[in-house]
Amino acid sequence: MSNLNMDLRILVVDDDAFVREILVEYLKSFGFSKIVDLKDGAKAIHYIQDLKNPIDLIISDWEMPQVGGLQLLQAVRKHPQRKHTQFMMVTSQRSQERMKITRAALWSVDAYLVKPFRGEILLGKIEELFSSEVPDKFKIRA
Amino acid sequence: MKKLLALKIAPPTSETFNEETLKVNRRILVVEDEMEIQKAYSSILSPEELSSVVPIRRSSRQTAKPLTAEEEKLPQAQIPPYDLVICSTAEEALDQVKKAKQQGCPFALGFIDVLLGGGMDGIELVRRIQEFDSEMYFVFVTAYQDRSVQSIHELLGPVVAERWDYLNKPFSEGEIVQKARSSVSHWNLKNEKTLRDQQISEIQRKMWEAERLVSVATISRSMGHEFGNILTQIMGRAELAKRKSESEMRQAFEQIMRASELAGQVLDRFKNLSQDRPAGTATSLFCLDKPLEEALLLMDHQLKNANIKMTKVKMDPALVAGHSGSLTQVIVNLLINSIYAMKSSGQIDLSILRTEEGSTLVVRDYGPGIPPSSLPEVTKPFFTTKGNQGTGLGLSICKEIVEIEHLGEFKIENHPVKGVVVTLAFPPPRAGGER
Repeated sequence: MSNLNMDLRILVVDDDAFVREILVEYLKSFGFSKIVDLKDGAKAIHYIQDLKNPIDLIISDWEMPQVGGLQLLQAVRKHPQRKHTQFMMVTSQRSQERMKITRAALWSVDAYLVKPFRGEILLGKIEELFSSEVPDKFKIRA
Repeated sequence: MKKLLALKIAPPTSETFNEETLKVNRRILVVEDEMEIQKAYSSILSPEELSSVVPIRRSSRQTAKPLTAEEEKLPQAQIPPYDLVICSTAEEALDQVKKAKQQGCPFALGFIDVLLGGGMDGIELVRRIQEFDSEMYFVFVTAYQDRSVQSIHELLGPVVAERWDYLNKPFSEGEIVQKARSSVSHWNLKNEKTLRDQQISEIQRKMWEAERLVSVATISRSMGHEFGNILTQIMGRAELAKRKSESEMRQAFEQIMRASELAGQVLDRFKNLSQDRPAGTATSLFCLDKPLEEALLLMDHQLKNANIKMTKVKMDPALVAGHSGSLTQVIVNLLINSIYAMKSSGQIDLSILRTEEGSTLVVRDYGPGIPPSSLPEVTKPFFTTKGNQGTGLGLSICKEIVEIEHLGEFKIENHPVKGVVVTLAFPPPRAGGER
Protein backbone atom coordinates (compact mmCIF):
# COMPACT_ATOMS: atom_id res chain seq x y z
CA MET A 1 0.00 0.00 0.00
CA SER A 2 2.67 2.45 0.97
CA ASN A 3 6.21 2.54 2.21
CA LEU A 4 5.12 3.95 5.55
CA ASN A 5 6.69 2.70 8.72
CA MET A 6 3.87 0.86 10.45
CA ASP A 7 5.62 1.21 13.77
CA LEU A 8 4.81 4.91 13.94
CA ARG A 9 3.45 5.79 17.36
CA ILE A 10 0.31 7.84 17.03
CA LEU A 11 -1.61 9.84 19.63
CA VAL A 12 -5.27 10.54 18.76
CA VAL A 13 -7.06 13.29 20.73
CA ASP A 14 -10.79 14.00 20.24
CA ASP A 15 -13.60 14.63 22.71
CA ASP A 16 -16.18 12.91 20.49
CA ALA A 17 -16.05 9.18 21.23
CA PHE A 18 -17.41 8.20 17.80
CA VAL A 19 -14.94 10.35 15.89
CA ARG A 20 -12.12 8.99 18.01
CA GLU A 21 -13.28 5.47 17.29
CA ILE A 22 -13.44 6.14 13.54
CA LEU A 23 -9.96 7.71 13.52
CA VAL A 24 -8.46 4.76 15.39
CA GLU A 25 -10.25 2.27 13.15
CA TYR A 26 -8.97 4.03 10.02
CA LEU A 27 -5.43 4.03 11.36
CA LYS A 28 -5.64 0.33 12.18
CA SER A 29 -7.02 -0.38 8.71
CA PHE A 30 -3.94 1.33 7.25
CA GLY A 31 -1.78 -1.06 9.24
CA PHE A 32 -0.77 1.04 12.23
CA SER A 33 -0.94 -0.66 15.59
CA LYS A 34 0.77 1.63 18.08
CA ILE A 35 -2.11 3.99 18.72
CA VAL A 36 -3.10 5.76 21.92
CA ASP A 37 -6.37 7.71 22.06
CA LEU A 38 -7.32 10.34 24.60
CA LYS A 39 -10.57 12.24 25.02
CA ASP A 40 -9.32 15.68 25.93
CA GLY A 41 -6.52 18.17 25.54
CA ALA A 42 -5.67 18.28 29.24
CA LYS A 43 -5.06 14.53 29.32
CA ALA A 44 -2.99 14.86 26.15
CA ILE A 45 -0.80 17.60 27.64
CA HIS A 46 -0.26 15.42 30.66
CA TYR A 47 0.60 12.50 28.38
CA ILE A 48 3.23 14.37 26.37
CA GLN A 49 4.98 15.57 29.53
CA ASP A 50 5.93 11.99 30.33
CA LEU A 51 8.94 11.30 28.14
CA LYS A 52 8.46 7.57 28.54
CA ASN A 53 5.56 7.86 26.12
CA PRO A 54 6.95 7.67 22.61
CA ILE A 55 5.04 9.77 20.05
CA ASP A 56 5.77 10.27 16.36
CA LEU A 57 2.47 11.81 15.31
CA ILE A 58 -0.32 13.65 17.12
CA ILE A 59 -3.75 13.83 15.49
CA SER A 60 -5.91 16.26 17.45
CA ASP A 61 -9.33 17.86 17.18
CA TRP A 62 -9.33 21.67 17.19
CA GLU A 63 -12.37 22.17 19.35
CA MET A 64 -12.41 20.41 22.69
CA PRO A 65 -13.66 21.46 26.12
CA GLN A 66 -11.17 23.33 28.30
CA VAL A 67 -7.92 22.52 26.52
CA GLY A 68 -8.41 22.74 22.77
CA GLY A 69 -6.26 21.59 19.88
CA LEU A 70 -4.44 24.89 19.51
CA GLN A 71 -3.40 24.87 23.16
CA LEU A 72 -2.17 21.31 22.79
CA LEU A 73 -0.18 22.31 19.70
CA GLN A 74 1.33 25.22 21.61
CA ALA A 75 2.27 22.95 24.50
CA VAL A 76 3.95 20.53 22.09
CA ARG A 77 5.90 23.26 20.31
CA LYS A 78 7.07 24.76 23.60
CA HIS A 79 8.22 21.41 24.91
CA PRO A 80 11.98 21.03 24.38
CA GLN A 81 11.86 17.30 23.62
CA ARG A 82 8.52 17.24 21.80
CA LYS A 83 8.69 20.33 19.67
CA HIS A 84 9.50 18.48 16.45
CA THR A 85 6.67 15.98 16.84
CA GLN A 86 4.44 15.86 13.75
CA PHE A 87 1.06 17.44 14.47
CA MET A 88 -2.13 17.03 12.43
CA MET A 89 -5.06 19.32 13.32
CA VAL A 90 -8.61 18.10 12.69
CA THR A 91 -11.55 20.48 12.46
CA SER A 92 -15.05 20.71 11.07
CA GLN A 93 -15.78 24.41 10.95
CA ARG A 94 -15.23 25.30 7.37
CA SER A 95 -16.26 28.92 7.77
CA GLN A 96 -13.49 29.66 10.18
CA GLU A 97 -10.89 27.57 8.50
CA ARG A 98 -8.85 30.47 7.26
CA MET A 99 -8.45 31.87 10.75
CA LYS A 100 -7.62 28.45 12.12
CA ILE A 101 -5.09 27.57 9.43
CA THR A 102 -3.37 30.89 10.01
CA ARG A 103 -3.28 30.49 13.75
CA ALA A 104 -2.20 26.87 13.57
CA ALA A 105 0.47 27.76 11.01
CA LEU A 106 1.87 30.30 13.45
CA TRP A 107 2.56 27.37 15.71
CA SER A 108 3.93 25.25 12.89
CA VAL A 109 1.16 22.76 12.46
CA ASP A 110 2.29 20.02 10.06
CA ALA A 111 -1.01 19.03 8.49
CA TYR A 112 -4.63 20.02 8.50
CA LEU A 113 -7.64 17.71 8.13
CA VAL A 114 -11.21 18.88 7.65
CA LYS A 115 -14.14 16.77 8.86
CA PRO A 116 -15.75 14.85 7.28
CA PHE A 117 -12.99 13.14 5.33
CA ARG A 118 -12.30 9.96 3.39
CA GLY A 119 -9.77 7.44 4.67
CA GLU A 120 -7.50 8.03 1.69
CA ILE A 121 -7.22 11.72 2.59
CA LEU A 122 -6.09 10.87 6.10
CA LEU A 123 -3.63 8.31 4.78
CA GLY A 124 -2.37 10.74 2.14
CA LYS A 125 -1.64 13.36 4.76
CA ILE A 126 0.26 10.90 6.93
CA GLU A 127 2.28 9.73 3.91
CA GLU A 128 3.09 13.33 3.11
CA LEU A 129 4.40 13.87 6.61
CA PHE A 130 6.55 10.79 6.79
CA SER A 131 7.64 10.03 3.27
CA SER A 132 11.22 11.18 2.72
CA GLU A 133 10.41 11.92 -0.94
CA VAL A 134 8.45 15.00 -0.01
CA PRO A 135 10.82 17.92 0.31
CA ASP A 136 10.50 19.93 3.49
CA LYS A 137 9.37 23.04 1.67
CA PHE A 138 6.04 21.47 0.82
CA LYS A 139 5.19 20.95 4.43
CA ILE A 140 3.22 23.61 6.21
CA ARG A 141 5.81 25.21 8.39
CA ALA A 142 5.63 28.79 9.52
CA MET B 1 -7.59 52.04 -21.19
CA LYS B 2 -6.46 51.99 -17.60
CA LYS B 3 -6.46 55.77 -17.46
CA LEU B 4 -10.04 55.97 -18.64
CA LEU B 5 -11.14 53.53 -16.02
CA ALA B 6 -9.36 55.40 -13.29
CA LEU B 7 -11.12 58.61 -14.26
CA LYS B 8 -14.50 56.99 -13.97
CA ILE B 9 -14.01 56.02 -10.36
CA ALA B 10 -16.09 58.26 -8.17
CA PRO B 11 -14.54 59.99 -5.16
CA PRO B 12 -15.58 58.85 -1.69
CA THR B 13 -19.29 59.37 -1.45
CA SER B 14 -19.96 60.43 2.13
CA GLU B 15 -19.68 64.12 1.30
CA THR B 16 -21.73 63.86 -1.83
CA PHE B 17 -24.37 62.07 0.15
CA ASN B 18 -24.63 64.82 2.75
CA GLU B 19 -24.79 67.55 0.16
CA GLU B 20 -27.53 65.78 -1.65
CA THR B 21 -29.69 64.90 1.30
CA LEU B 22 -29.14 68.13 3.22
CA LYS B 23 -29.38 70.56 0.32
CA VAL B 24 -30.72 73.86 1.65
CA ASN B 25 -34.26 74.61 0.52
CA ARG B 26 -34.73 78.29 -0.34
CA ARG B 27 -38.05 78.00 -2.17
CA ILE B 28 -40.69 80.55 -1.29
CA LEU B 29 -44.23 80.81 -2.63
CA VAL B 30 -45.98 84.17 -2.81
CA VAL B 31 -49.76 84.29 -3.23
CA GLU B 32 -50.77 87.85 -3.95
CA ASP B 33 -53.21 89.29 -6.43
CA GLU B 34 -51.87 92.84 -6.59
CA MET B 35 -49.18 93.43 -9.20
CA GLU B 36 -47.41 96.18 -7.25
CA ILE B 37 -47.03 94.05 -4.16
CA GLN B 38 -45.82 91.10 -6.25
CA LYS B 39 -43.06 93.34 -7.57
CA ALA B 40 -42.16 94.41 -4.04
CA TYR B 41 -41.73 90.74 -3.01
CA SER B 42 -39.49 90.12 -6.01
CA SER B 43 -37.23 93.06 -5.32
CA ILE B 44 -36.88 92.14 -1.67
CA LEU B 45 -36.49 88.38 -1.85
CA SER B 46 -35.07 87.78 -5.29
CA PRO B 47 -33.37 90.96 -6.48
CA GLU B 48 -31.63 90.93 -9.86
CA GLU B 49 -28.28 91.60 -8.23
CA LEU B 50 -27.20 89.93 -5.04
CA SER B 51 -28.01 92.16 -2.14
CA SER B 52 -25.52 92.52 0.63
CA VAL B 53 -25.85 93.10 4.31
CA VAL B 54 -23.47 95.45 6.06
CA PRO B 55 -21.94 93.52 8.92
CA ILE B 56 -23.53 94.56 12.18
CA ARG B 57 -21.19 95.99 14.79
CA ARG B 58 -21.14 94.38 18.18
CA SER B 59 -22.70 97.37 19.92
CA SER B 60 -25.73 98.90 18.31
CA ARG B 61 -24.85 102.29 19.77
CA GLN B 62 -21.62 102.37 17.92
CA THR B 63 -22.32 103.86 14.56
CA ALA B 64 -20.87 102.00 11.68
CA LYS B 65 -17.80 103.75 10.41
CA PRO B 66 -17.64 104.35 6.68
CA LEU B 67 -15.82 101.46 5.04
CA THR B 68 -12.26 102.05 4.01
CA ALA B 69 -11.20 101.18 0.51
CA GLU B 70 -9.48 98.10 1.92
CA GLU B 71 -12.61 96.90 3.72
CA GLU B 72 -14.78 97.51 0.70
CA LYS B 73 -12.90 94.79 -1.18
CA LEU B 74 -13.53 92.19 1.55
CA PRO B 75 -16.33 89.79 0.83
CA GLN B 76 -19.40 90.74 2.80
CA ALA B 77 -22.15 88.58 4.21
CA GLN B 78 -24.46 88.15 1.25
CA ILE B 79 -28.01 86.89 1.29
CA PRO B 80 -28.39 84.53 -1.59
CA PRO B 81 -31.65 85.25 -3.42
CA TYR B 82 -34.61 83.03 -2.61
CA ASP B 83 -36.14 80.81 -5.21
CA LEU B 84 -39.41 82.66 -5.64
CA VAL B 85 -42.68 81.51 -7.24
CA ILE B 86 -45.46 84.07 -7.42
CA CYS B 87 -49.13 83.20 -7.94
CA SER B 88 -52.12 85.45 -8.23
CA THR B 89 -54.81 83.00 -7.17
CA ALA B 90 -55.19 80.34 -4.51
CA GLU B 91 -56.05 77.68 -7.13
CA GLU B 92 -52.85 78.34 -9.04
CA ALA B 93 -50.88 78.28 -5.77
CA LEU B 94 -52.41 74.94 -4.77
CA ASP B 95 -51.26 73.47 -8.09
CA GLN B 96 -47.76 74.82 -7.62
CA VAL B 97 -47.42 73.39 -4.12
CA LYS B 98 -48.73 70.02 -5.27
CA LYS B 99 -46.36 69.94 -8.22
CA ALA B 100 -43.40 71.04 -6.11
CA LYS B 101 -44.07 68.34 -3.54
CA GLN B 102 -44.42 65.65 -6.21
CA GLN B 103 -41.15 66.71 -7.84
CA GLY B 104 -39.36 66.52 -4.52
CA CYS B 105 -38.61 70.25 -4.32
CA PRO B 106 -41.25 71.48 -1.84
CA PHE B 107 -41.64 75.07 -0.71
CA ALA B 108 -40.19 76.04 2.66
CA LEU B 109 -42.45 79.04 3.10
CA GLY B 110 -45.47 80.77 1.64
CA PHE B 111 -46.36 84.46 1.98
CA ILE B 112 -50.14 84.30 1.67
CA ASP B 113 -52.48 87.19 1.15
CA VAL B 114 -55.61 86.42 3.13
CA LEU B 115 -58.11 88.10 0.81
CA LEU B 116 -57.69 86.89 -2.73
CA GLY B 117 -59.70 87.72 -5.81
CA GLY B 118 -60.84 84.19 -6.66
CA GLY B 119 -63.07 81.77 -4.82
CA MET B 120 -60.63 80.41 -2.28
CA ASP B 121 -59.11 82.67 0.35
CA GLY B 122 -55.62 82.38 1.84
CA ILE B 123 -56.69 80.49 4.94
CA GLU B 124 -58.66 77.89 2.98
CA LEU B 125 -55.61 77.51 0.72
CA VAL B 126 -53.36 76.73 3.69
CA ARG B 127 -55.92 74.29 5.03
CA ARG B 128 -56.01 72.49 1.67
CA ILE B 129 -52.21 72.42 1.40
CA GLN B 130 -52.05 70.39 4.63
CA GLU B 131 -53.49 67.43 2.76
CA PHE B 132 -50.25 66.85 0.91
CA ASP B 133 -47.62 69.07 2.54
CA SER B 134 -47.46 69.22 6.30
CA GLU B 135 -43.98 70.77 6.59
CA MET B 136 -44.44 74.10 4.82
CA TYR B 137 -44.42 77.36 6.84
CA PHE B 138 -46.79 80.28 6.19
CA VAL B 139 -46.92 83.99 6.78
CA PHE B 140 -50.39 85.54 6.33
CA VAL B 141 -50.20 89.01 4.95
CA THR B 142 -53.30 91.10 5.18
CA ALA B 143 -54.21 94.73 4.51
CA TYR B 144 -57.09 94.94 6.91
CA GLN B 145 -57.63 93.42 10.29
CA ASP B 146 -60.21 91.24 8.63
CA ARG B 147 -59.10 88.17 10.51
CA SER B 148 -58.01 88.07 14.09
CA VAL B 149 -55.13 85.79 15.09
CA GLN B 150 -57.63 83.79 17.12
CA SER B 151 -59.97 83.24 14.19
CA ILE B 152 -57.09 82.06 11.98
CA HIS B 153 -56.01 79.68 14.68
CA GLU B 154 -59.53 78.34 15.04
CA LEU B 155 -59.82 77.82 11.29
CA LEU B 156 -56.48 76.07 10.90
CA GLY B 157 -56.34 74.14 14.13
CA PRO B 158 -53.41 72.90 16.20
CA VAL B 159 -51.73 70.93 13.40
CA VAL B 160 -50.57 74.08 11.61
CA ALA B 161 -50.30 76.22 14.76
CA GLU B 162 -46.51 76.03 14.95
CA ARG B 163 -46.06 76.83 11.27
CA TRP B 164 -47.88 80.08 10.66
CA ASP B 165 -47.26 83.71 11.42
CA TYR B 166 -48.76 86.95 10.17
CA LEU B 167 -47.83 90.42 8.92
CA ASN B 168 -49.91 93.53 8.37
CA LYS B 169 -49.80 95.50 5.16
CA PRO B 170 -48.05 97.74 4.43
CA PHE B 171 -44.98 95.70 5.28
CA SER B 172 -41.40 96.87 5.40
CA GLU B 173 -38.52 95.23 3.57
CA GLY B 174 -36.98 94.29 6.93
CA GLU B 175 -40.11 92.48 8.09
CA ILE B 176 -40.30 90.38 4.95
CA VAL B 177 -36.59 89.50 5.04
CA GLN B 178 -36.82 88.60 8.71
CA LYS B 179 -39.86 86.34 8.31
CA ALA B 180 -38.32 84.71 5.23
CA ARG B 181 -35.03 84.01 6.99
CA SER B 182 -36.53 82.60 10.16
CA SER B 183 -39.15 80.38 8.49
CA VAL B 184 -36.76 79.07 5.84
CA SER B 185 -34.17 78.25 8.46
CA HIS B 186 -36.80 76.53 10.60
CA TRP B 187 -37.91 74.43 7.66
CA ASN B 188 -34.34 73.40 6.89
CA LEU B 189 -33.46 72.58 10.49
CA LYS B 190 -36.53 70.44 10.82
CA ASN B 191 -35.83 68.71 7.53
CA GLU B 192 -32.26 68.03 8.56
CA LYS B 193 -33.45 66.54 11.83
CA THR B 194 -35.98 64.31 10.07
CA LEU B 195 -33.30 63.04 7.71
CA ARG B 196 -30.88 62.39 10.57
CA ASP B 197 -33.59 60.51 12.49
CA GLN B 198 -34.30 58.40 9.43
CA GLN B 199 -30.62 57.61 9.03
CA ILE B 200 -30.30 56.73 12.71
CA SER B 201 -33.30 54.43 12.70
CA GLU B 202 -31.95 52.77 9.57
CA ILE B 203 -28.61 52.22 11.31
CA GLN B 204 -30.39 50.88 14.37
CA ARG B 205 -32.40 48.48 12.27
CA LYS B 206 -29.20 47.19 10.64
CA MET B 207 -27.52 46.80 14.02
CA TRP B 208 -30.46 44.79 15.31
CA GLU B 209 -30.21 42.54 12.31
CA ALA B 210 -26.50 42.19 12.98
CA GLU B 211 -27.12 41.23 16.60
CA ARG B 212 -29.62 38.56 15.60
CA LEU B 213 -27.09 37.25 13.14
CA VAL B 214 -24.47 37.12 15.87
CA SER B 215 -26.56 34.76 17.98
CA VAL B 216 -27.37 32.72 14.90
CA ALA B 217 -23.65 32.64 14.07
CA THR B 218 -22.76 31.44 17.55
CA ILE B 219 -25.24 28.62 17.26
CA SER B 220 -24.30 27.70 13.73
CA ARG B 221 -20.67 27.38 14.80
CA SER B 222 -21.57 24.73 17.32
CA MET B 223 -23.88 23.14 14.75
CA GLY B 224 -21.00 23.06 12.29
CA HIS B 225 -18.92 21.19 14.80
CA GLU B 226 -21.69 18.70 15.55
CA PHE B 227 -22.36 18.11 11.87
CA GLY B 228 -18.68 17.61 11.18
CA ASN B 229 -18.54 14.92 13.82
CA ILE B 230 -21.72 13.21 12.69
CA LEU B 231 -20.66 13.19 9.05
CA THR B 232 -17.23 11.86 9.99
CA GLN B 233 -18.99 9.03 11.71
CA ILE B 234 -21.31 8.33 8.79
CA MET B 235 -18.56 8.42 6.18
CA GLY B 236 -16.12 6.53 8.34
CA ARG B 237 -18.55 3.74 9.21
CA ALA B 238 -19.54 3.33 5.57
CA GLU B 239 -16.03 3.30 4.24
CA LEU B 240 -14.62 1.03 6.91
CA ALA B 241 -17.57 -1.37 6.60
CA LYS B 242 -16.87 -1.98 2.91
CA ARG B 243 -14.07 -4.35 3.83
CA LYS B 244 -15.93 -6.08 6.60
CA SER B 245 -18.10 -9.17 7.01
CA GLU B 246 -21.79 -9.00 6.31
CA SER B 247 -22.82 -8.95 9.96
CA GLU B 248 -20.34 -6.20 10.74
CA MET B 249 -21.68 -4.29 7.76
CA ARG B 250 -25.22 -4.57 9.11
CA GLN B 251 -23.99 -3.18 12.39
CA ALA B 252 -22.34 -0.28 10.58
CA PHE B 253 -25.59 0.45 8.73
CA GLU B 254 -27.41 0.64 12.04
CA GLN B 255 -24.79 3.05 13.38
CA ILE B 256 -25.11 5.17 10.25
CA MET B 257 -28.89 5.30 10.68
CA ARG B 258 -28.51 6.46 14.26
CA ALA B 259 -25.97 9.11 13.32
CA SER B 260 -28.31 10.37 10.58
CA GLU B 261 -31.18 10.59 13.04
CA LEU B 262 -28.98 12.61 15.34
CA ALA B 263 -28.17 14.95 12.46
CA GLY B 264 -31.91 15.39 11.91
CA GLN B 265 -32.38 16.36 15.55
CA VAL B 266 -29.59 18.93 15.34
CA LEU B 267 -31.27 20.38 12.29
CA ASP B 268 -34.65 20.54 14.04
CA ARG B 269 -33.24 22.65 16.83
CA PHE B 270 -31.94 25.18 14.39
CA LYS B 271 -35.22 25.21 12.50
CA ASN B 272 -37.17 25.88 15.69
CA LEU B 273 -35.01 28.85 16.47
CA SER B 274 -35.49 30.55 13.15
CA GLN B 275 -39.21 29.83 13.04
CA ASP B 276 -42.07 31.69 14.73
CA ARG B 277 -39.66 34.59 14.91
CA PRO B 278 -41.55 37.56 13.47
CA ALA B 279 -43.39 39.51 16.10
CA GLY B 280 -47.00 40.08 15.27
CA THR B 281 -47.63 36.50 14.28
CA ALA B 282 -50.16 34.66 16.38
CA THR B 283 -49.02 33.80 19.87
CA SER B 284 -49.27 30.35 21.35
CA LEU B 285 -49.37 28.82 24.81
CA PHE B 286 -46.30 26.90 25.86
CA CYS B 287 -44.54 25.65 28.97
CA LEU B 288 -41.73 27.93 30.02
CA ASP B 289 -39.33 25.01 30.14
CA LYS B 290 -39.71 24.51 26.38
CA PRO B 291 -37.63 27.54 25.30
CA LEU B 292 -35.25 26.85 28.19
CA GLU B 293 -34.58 23.26 27.11
CA GLU B 294 -34.19 24.35 23.50
CA ALA B 295 -31.67 27.01 24.46
CA LEU B 296 -29.72 24.49 26.54
CA LEU B 297 -29.60 22.06 23.64
CA LEU B 298 -28.44 24.78 21.27
CA MET B 299 -25.77 25.98 23.66
CA ASP B 300 -24.79 22.51 24.90
CA HIS B 301 -21.54 22.48 23.03
CA GLN B 302 -20.49 26.00 24.03
CA LEU B 303 -21.38 25.37 27.66
CA LYS B 304 -19.37 22.16 27.74
CA ASN B 305 -16.48 23.87 25.97
CA ALA B 306 -16.43 26.61 28.56
CA ASN B 307 -16.66 23.97 31.29
CA ILE B 308 -19.81 25.45 32.78
CA LYS B 309 -21.96 23.49 35.16
CA MET B 310 -25.70 23.93 34.68
CA THR B 311 -27.89 23.55 37.75
CA LYS B 312 -31.67 23.44 37.62
CA VAL B 313 -32.64 24.78 41.02
CA LYS B 314 -36.42 24.60 40.73
CA MET B 315 -38.60 23.82 37.74
CA ASP B 316 -42.23 24.70 38.41
CA PRO B 317 -44.63 23.96 35.58
CA ALA B 318 -45.60 27.35 34.13
CA LEU B 319 -47.56 28.37 31.05
CA VAL B 320 -46.70 31.47 29.05
CA ALA B 321 -48.41 33.01 26.04
CA GLY B 322 -46.16 34.32 23.31
CA HIS B 323 -43.40 33.10 21.03
CA SER B 324 -41.36 30.22 22.32
CA GLY B 325 -38.71 30.74 19.62
CA SER B 326 -38.18 34.35 20.67
CA LEU B 327 -37.68 33.34 24.27
CA THR B 328 -35.20 30.67 23.19
CA GLN B 329 -33.24 33.46 21.60
CA VAL B 330 -33.41 35.52 24.81
CA ILE B 331 -32.10 32.62 26.89
CA VAL B 332 -29.37 31.85 24.35
CA ASN B 333 -28.30 35.49 24.60
CA LEU B 334 -28.19 35.34 28.38
CA LEU B 335 -26.15 32.13 28.29
CA ILE B 336 -23.71 33.67 25.78
CA ASN B 337 -23.27 36.66 28.12
CA SER B 338 -22.69 34.43 31.14
CA ILE B 339 -20.17 32.28 29.29
CA TYR B 340 -18.39 35.43 28.18
CA ALA B 341 -18.37 36.81 31.73
CA MET B 342 -17.10 33.64 33.35
CA LYS B 343 -14.40 33.00 30.71
CA SER B 344 -13.57 29.36 31.43
CA SER B 345 -15.42 27.30 33.97
CA GLY B 346 -18.21 28.38 36.26
CA GLN B 347 -21.79 27.67 37.12
CA ILE B 348 -25.20 28.83 35.92
CA ASP B 349 -28.32 28.29 38.03
CA LEU B 350 -31.70 28.08 36.32
CA SER B 351 -35.15 28.21 37.89
CA ILE B 352 -38.72 28.49 36.73
CA LEU B 353 -41.01 29.70 39.51
CA ARG B 354 -44.76 30.03 39.53
CA THR B 355 -45.81 33.18 41.35
CA GLU B 356 -49.11 34.85 42.13
CA GLU B 357 -48.53 37.34 39.34
CA GLY B 358 -47.64 34.68 36.78
CA SER B 359 -44.26 33.00 36.35
CA THR B 360 -40.60 33.86 36.35
CA LEU B 361 -37.52 32.41 34.75
CA VAL B 362 -34.34 33.14 36.66
CA VAL B 363 -30.86 32.78 35.19
CA ARG B 364 -28.01 33.33 37.61
CA ASP B 365 -24.31 33.08 36.86
CA TYR B 366 -21.28 33.09 39.14
CA GLY B 367 -19.19 35.51 37.12
CA PRO B 368 -17.69 38.80 38.26
CA GLY B 369 -21.04 40.61 38.05
CA ILE B 370 -21.71 44.00 36.46
CA PRO B 371 -20.05 47.18 37.78
CA PRO B 372 -22.84 49.10 39.57
CA SER B 373 -22.21 52.13 37.38
CA SER B 374 -22.90 50.09 34.23
CA LEU B 375 -25.97 48.34 35.59
CA PRO B 376 -28.52 50.92 34.42
CA GLU B 377 -26.83 50.99 31.00
CA VAL B 378 -26.69 47.30 30.10
CA THR B 379 -30.15 47.08 28.57
CA LYS B 380 -29.75 50.27 26.59
CA PRO B 381 -29.04 49.85 22.89
CA PHE B 382 -25.36 50.08 21.88
CA PHE B 383 -24.00 49.34 25.34
CA THR B 384 -21.30 46.71 25.08
CA THR B 385 -18.31 45.52 27.04
CA LYS B 386 -17.24 43.19 24.30
CA GLY B 387 -15.52 45.82 22.17
CA ASN B 388 -15.72 44.92 18.52
CA GLN B 389 -17.18 41.52 19.31
CA GLY B 390 -20.53 42.94 20.42
CA THR B 391 -23.00 45.34 18.94
CA GLY B 392 -24.40 46.22 22.35
CA LEU B 393 -27.90 45.21 21.31
CA GLY B 394 -28.21 41.76 22.84
CA LEU B 395 -29.80 42.73 26.13
CA SER B 396 -31.86 45.56 24.68
CA ILE B 397 -33.43 43.09 22.26
CA CYS B 398 -33.97 40.58 25.10
CA LYS B 399 -35.72 43.25 27.11
CA GLU B 400 -37.89 44.14 24.15
CA ILE B 401 -38.81 40.52 23.47
CA VAL B 402 -39.80 39.98 27.10
CA GLU B 403 -41.54 43.27 27.69
CA ILE B 404 -43.14 44.06 24.36
CA GLU B 405 -43.74 40.63 22.84
CA HIS B 406 -44.69 38.96 26.13
CA LEU B 407 -45.90 41.90 28.25
CA GLY B 408 -43.47 40.72 30.90
CA GLU B 409 -40.67 42.30 32.84
CA PHE B 410 -36.94 42.03 32.26
CA LYS B 411 -34.75 42.58 35.29
CA ILE B 412 -30.98 42.34 35.54
CA GLU B 413 -29.09 42.83 38.79
CA ASN B 414 -26.02 41.73 40.68
CA HIS B 415 -26.41 38.85 43.09
CA PRO B 416 -25.58 40.02 46.65
CA VAL B 417 -22.90 37.37 46.87
CA LYS B 418 -21.56 36.75 43.38
CA GLY B 419 -22.54 36.98 39.75
CA VAL B 420 -25.52 38.32 37.84
CA VAL B 421 -29.19 37.46 38.21
CA VAL B 422 -31.53 37.95 35.28
CA THR B 423 -35.22 37.60 36.02
CA LEU B 424 -37.80 37.30 33.28
CA ALA B 425 -41.28 37.74 34.72
CA PHE B 426 -44.33 36.77 32.69
CA PRO B 427 -48.00 37.50 33.32
CA PRO B 428 -50.37 34.53 33.54
CA PRO B 429 -51.74 33.68 30.11
CA ARG B 430 -55.31 34.74 29.48
CA ALA B 431 -57.92 32.23 28.48
CA GLY B 432 -57.28 30.92 25.00
CA GLY B 433 -53.73 32.18 25.00
CA GLU B 434 -54.65 35.36 23.16
CA ARG B 435 -53.25 38.65 24.26
